[in-house]
Amino acid sequence: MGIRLQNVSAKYSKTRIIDRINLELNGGDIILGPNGSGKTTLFRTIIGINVFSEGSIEIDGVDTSRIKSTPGLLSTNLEEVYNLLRVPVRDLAKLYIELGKGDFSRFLSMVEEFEVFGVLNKRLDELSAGQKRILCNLIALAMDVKYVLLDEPFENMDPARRVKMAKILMNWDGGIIMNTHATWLLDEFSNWRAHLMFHGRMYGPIKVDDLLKARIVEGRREDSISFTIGEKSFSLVSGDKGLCLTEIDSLDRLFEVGL
Amino acid sequence: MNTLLLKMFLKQMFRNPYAWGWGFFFVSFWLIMGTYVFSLEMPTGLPAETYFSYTGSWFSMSLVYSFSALAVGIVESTYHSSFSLRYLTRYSTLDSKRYYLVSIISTMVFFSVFSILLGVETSSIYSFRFGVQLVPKKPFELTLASILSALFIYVLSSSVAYLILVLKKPRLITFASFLPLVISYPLLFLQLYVDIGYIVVLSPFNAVNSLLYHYYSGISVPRGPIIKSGQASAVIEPSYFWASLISWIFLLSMLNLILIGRQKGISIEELRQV
Repeated sequence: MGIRLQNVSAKYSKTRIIDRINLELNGGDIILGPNGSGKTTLFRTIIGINVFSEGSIEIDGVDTSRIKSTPGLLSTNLEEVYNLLRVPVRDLAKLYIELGKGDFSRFLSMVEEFEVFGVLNKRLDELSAGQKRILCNLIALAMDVKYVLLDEPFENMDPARRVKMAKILMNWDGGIIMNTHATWLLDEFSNWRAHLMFHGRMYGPIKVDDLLKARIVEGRREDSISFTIGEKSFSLVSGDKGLCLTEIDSLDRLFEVGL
Repeated sequence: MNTLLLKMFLKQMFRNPYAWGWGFFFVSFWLIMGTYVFSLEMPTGLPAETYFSYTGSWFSMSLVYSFSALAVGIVESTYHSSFSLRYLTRYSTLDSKRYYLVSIISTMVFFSVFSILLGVETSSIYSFRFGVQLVPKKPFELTLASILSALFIYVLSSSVAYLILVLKKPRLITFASFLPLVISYPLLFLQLYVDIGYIVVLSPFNAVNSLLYHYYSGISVPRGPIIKSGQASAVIEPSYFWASLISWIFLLSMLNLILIGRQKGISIEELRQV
């Protein structure tokens, strides 16, 4: 049945980060948006760890506020959920995976594959940003869950590990929902669905394959996905004119175009 | 109860260098000062009761300061784990009751180990210094008082952490985590040197201090300053201190339950301000 958001808004203090979003995620989804567009806040809101949110969020037909002690439903790589105890990563992973009814041996084999065995005896706060990201990804993937929410899963990783991670996600037998501002990986996930996010608003969905063929042009066009960056409007159209997403490395570049 | 969670809690506590530094070594330093520096003018050959009173007052104050130092860690870990707990209680087998039970048990075990270590240290060095065997007079009651003191510090610390979450004042967390230490320090010194009247019973820190002093030394707590124990005609029955301590634990537990229900956490951005 998937994850369904209806008219969802979220804010930090008085700043609105997510603005009346309607969205349906079933796995094989990429939330694509520049830094600061609200992607991570969206994940926090879905998980239920965001404080100020409005609207309705259901996971498999159950309102998230009613979900309690339900292993096997959802896992995430968001670093803030791994703050329960300040113990070495090996112990932390073992605890979370046991509580989430996951597979610790799968975690260990992935750790070996990513060659990060050496850091298991350190605490999460002692690791580099890249190591943290890998290990949080691996803990999330070691859970036997229906939906894995991965926040910028390739961020701060070296190219070799990025490729390894991409291969794992492409072949994953389950519902992966990830967000990213990077466009280099879109080729690898051509059969996934993309949802564009700018300034807390969602646009789409569109098949990644179609997104790759589309061009970004200034102005609003009928029968196409249009979005606003700053005070300018842009549309995704077919044809040869305009900017192709694969020409830019990150969606952050769109702001430069927008300016 | 989840044994792995308990094991991890204990691992976190026993491997915390700050807890050992401030809760044990710093307090041990003062215990040694009490033995070899502050007692220089104390003559030998005094009645054993005088040495027991002196040793008991050092032990009781040291243990309260040690527990108050350990409370800093409890406040901060309760506060910082709020996000993880909200995630785990939804998407894992962990429920909040089990988490708090494990958290309380591990705190009691950890604090008990510190009580035993400081108790053994105190009786060893003070016995050696004064040439009198100064082991606790009522070890069973002393253990019970230490365990309840640990429980009091736990409920106080978690109340402080939840209050900060309810008030959404993350910048206060560092100050708030030191509150037990800041409050206990002057209160205990006042009890040592001056007559603080009913505060000695009403204040939970003084109630803990009095119980520990009484069961270590076997001497009743005077109505005036502890330093004049033995000379005072009026004493306070330990039952008053027990009643005070148990009432505080009950009240703070109730406050905790209310605050847990009302707190909705704070945003991660606010958490990062700390």
